[in-house]
Amino acid sequence: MRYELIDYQREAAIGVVDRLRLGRELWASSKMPSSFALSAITGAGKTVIAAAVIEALLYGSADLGAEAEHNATFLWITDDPALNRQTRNRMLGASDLLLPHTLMEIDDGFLEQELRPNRCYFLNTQKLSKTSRLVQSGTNLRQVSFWEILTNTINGDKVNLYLILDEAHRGMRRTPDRTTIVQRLIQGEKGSNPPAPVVWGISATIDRFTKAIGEMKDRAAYPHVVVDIEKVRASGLVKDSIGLDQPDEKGTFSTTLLRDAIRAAREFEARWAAYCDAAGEPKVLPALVIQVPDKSDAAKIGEFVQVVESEWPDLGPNAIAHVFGEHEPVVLGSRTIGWVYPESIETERDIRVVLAKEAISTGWDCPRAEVLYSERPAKDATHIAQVIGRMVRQPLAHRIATDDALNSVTCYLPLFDRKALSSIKDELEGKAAENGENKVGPEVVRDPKVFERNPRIAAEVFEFIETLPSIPTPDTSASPLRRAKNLVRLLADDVSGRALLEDADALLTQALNARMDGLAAEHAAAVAANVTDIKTVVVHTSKVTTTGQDAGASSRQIETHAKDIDRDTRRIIKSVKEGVGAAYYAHRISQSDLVANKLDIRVEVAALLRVDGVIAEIEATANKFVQKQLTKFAVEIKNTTGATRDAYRKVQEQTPAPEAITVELRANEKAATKKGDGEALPTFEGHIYSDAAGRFPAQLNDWEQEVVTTEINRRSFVAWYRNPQRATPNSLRIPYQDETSKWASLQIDFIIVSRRDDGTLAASIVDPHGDHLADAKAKLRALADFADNHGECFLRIQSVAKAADGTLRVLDLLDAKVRKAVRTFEGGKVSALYLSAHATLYK
Amino acid sequence: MAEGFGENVQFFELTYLDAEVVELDIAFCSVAPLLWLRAGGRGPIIGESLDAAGRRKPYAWTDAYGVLFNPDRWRTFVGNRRESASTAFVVTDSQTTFAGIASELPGTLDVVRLYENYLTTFAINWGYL
Repeated sequence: MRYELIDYQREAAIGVVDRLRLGRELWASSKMPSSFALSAITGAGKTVIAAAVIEALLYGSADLGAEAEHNATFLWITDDPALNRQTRNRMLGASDLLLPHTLMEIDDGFLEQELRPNRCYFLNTQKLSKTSRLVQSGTNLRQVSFWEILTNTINGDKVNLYLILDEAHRGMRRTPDRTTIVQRLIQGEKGSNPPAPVVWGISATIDRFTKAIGEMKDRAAYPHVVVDIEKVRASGLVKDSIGLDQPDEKGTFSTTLLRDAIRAAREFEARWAAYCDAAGEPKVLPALVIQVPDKSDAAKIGEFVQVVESEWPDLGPNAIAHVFGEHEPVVLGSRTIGWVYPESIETERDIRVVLAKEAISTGWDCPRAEVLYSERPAKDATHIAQVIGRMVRQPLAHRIATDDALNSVTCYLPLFDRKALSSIKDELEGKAAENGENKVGPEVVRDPKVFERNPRIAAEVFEFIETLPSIPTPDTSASPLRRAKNLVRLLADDVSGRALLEDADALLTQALNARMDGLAAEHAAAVAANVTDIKTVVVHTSKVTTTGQDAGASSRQIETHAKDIDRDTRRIIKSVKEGVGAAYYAHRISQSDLVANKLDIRVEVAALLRVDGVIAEIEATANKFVQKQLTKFAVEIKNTTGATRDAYRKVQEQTPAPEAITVELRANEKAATKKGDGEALPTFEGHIYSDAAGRFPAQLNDWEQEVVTTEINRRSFVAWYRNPQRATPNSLRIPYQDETSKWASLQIDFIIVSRRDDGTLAASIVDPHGDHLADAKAKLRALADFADNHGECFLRIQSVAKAADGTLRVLDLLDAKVRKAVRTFEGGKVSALYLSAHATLYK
Repeated sequence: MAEGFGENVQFFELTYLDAEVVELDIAFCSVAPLLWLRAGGRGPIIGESLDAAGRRKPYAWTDAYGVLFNPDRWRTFVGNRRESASTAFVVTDSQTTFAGIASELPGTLDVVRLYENYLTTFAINWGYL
């Protein structure tokens, strides 16, 4: 792969590889077909996951724990040839192993008898419609139809066929006889093609997939691979928020809101310019999308363009383009608006304003489109949601820590009233359509504003909060070797001649090789036994007389065939992640004399790697190396910015066990100023981000509000921080395992900073989380563990709940007795704990 | 025709190589012409590239392609890329190192991992076409 997979992508890829293997085995052993789906929201990187899986099955991957199959072949089905081409191009870009001849489009010119192994074929269902040439046979042009090709492939023994049904795209136009074609592909047809052995669906939601393929008979179903939306959000690949702006009074909008939208686009431009300059990253040129009414004529479009030109001077001649269904240019007095392929907008940087009508074609994906102005009526909520879905990726594929405005997109919807606006919010939150297909990662907020750091709060308070511990959710698929390789690459980054650790990669390799040399000596006997094991095969022979009587059994050892030794040892060495096995083998060769037999050395290396516990030792060495460097360069790493900081952060968070880092505050914060229903939010003082008057809006329920007010009024109060509710770096995160022992992240509600009598700052966690919520017990225990390990950093670690009598009750986890009570609590609902003697009245 | 051709010609010996020797990175000179060909067969061939002291240089670029021998020098390798180059070869056994470096190079560049991918794409007798 040309990209490093993000942890959830790797986890998903491994899940898919497992199911494909299971499906293949099931088919081989009992001709039972199977299916499963991979689902993830837009922007999660489904194509990247798919490319990684295909690469792993065709070529093997230590990273995904897959061996090459050598006879796997994929058939990728969608409804849209343009979409297939786009997917194919993305895969070619994402993978260094998948080459153009491996990823083949099937069209009328496809004349082979069967599908070849080691390919991924792309096909759109239209090509299988009754009138299509591809399904004809016995003609001059075509001997066998595609259905026969499919039959030959499935019935032959040369190929393991995997059918991929790509349903992931919003607003995909369905062809009329699509269901029949898809059904026939999957279920087969009597007298024609057999069922597809293994079906892998890719979809935005599982529901959508099940609907698309219809009812399945006689097919084993493996559990679906569902990408956790919280992990996608935490990754920073998608925007954090979508702001919905709407006029306060009906009828006053005319061009005011369009002007606002243009100003917003220009503000994005200025903020990106400032950020990219400072961080040395590629320049991002944001685009504005204007959705015009269906029946807009040249005059109407002219009005829009006039406003754009007046608000946005110096737009180039190609800066405004359209993606209407009719491809003709729109000729206006001042300029000609040309039609462009929606797919090309992302790369054609001259284009700054895009005019569109209903949904833009499915292939369109445009992260740099950050502002939407839509003059479509409220009944078009679905179409608008689909367009917004195209805008949610982060242009630089990571979150921007220094300017929160860049972590959002903004939508202006003048024709929406309050009620209609909540319908689009529902769409984007996946509540509108039954199958939730328009659900996006970002949070939908009303009239968001950027809040800078509160001028009334001293800089030392921000610095103090940034010393507080935060524990990222452990990554169960994390590999210490991968983590070490990531770190050394960053340390050796000699961009301006200031590499933190020159030759970091070489040093790591040396450390690992030295450890393996040591392990070889420690485990000499076990290695020798493994060598014998690899080189020989035990053959058991039972003798039976001609009359059927047992004449005794014997066994003898024979030498393994050289070719098998070669293959087995290679496989063992290659299975060690990050080429660490291969590097050690090279090291051993370089240490040996010239006449030594390379195969003997290889057998010894493989024998060592097979000894129980050796891999764990190697990983421990890598971990130690990482810990040492992270500690040594802690300050330097903290001082890095932009993409480099992000890369270091990933290394810090790439750990299979909880490991504490610190909270990283953003330079500013973008937050909603109105509730979902459009009512203004109450504002509070003392928050670390605020408007010029020192106030910050927050949506709090009555008792959260009571808690905040109580804290603000304490004599020792200095500041409060609404801890972000998503597991992002600016949040104080506490991991916990839910009842299925899957890791999740708890974001406590409030951090309160106070001043002790001696003048020093102190922090408290106050978490009015509620005893009624799911996982309340697991979360309380997580707080208790956190207090055990990091209690010294806090004055109070309080969990607050509202009792039935309306009073607020608090458990302070800094009290060892309370922690004990929490851990030994057996009941189902934790409410009882808040009523016990361990809890006190919150005041 | 009387003035001769504008083209050059290069002769190579076609032979079999032990995959293992290639993989161990001790036969770079033998595969060098193939890398050059894969990168379009333009300009000079990047050979072992030793410095004055006889040590292997960390990387080399021509107008057509580049080879990174030492992953610890990846940033200067990326920084010194020639605009006209179409291909970059990166010598590393680590998938992560490769991906990290490849993602810093423009998407239009063909980035090849040595020797893993080299062997995968040039190997014969895999039991299929």
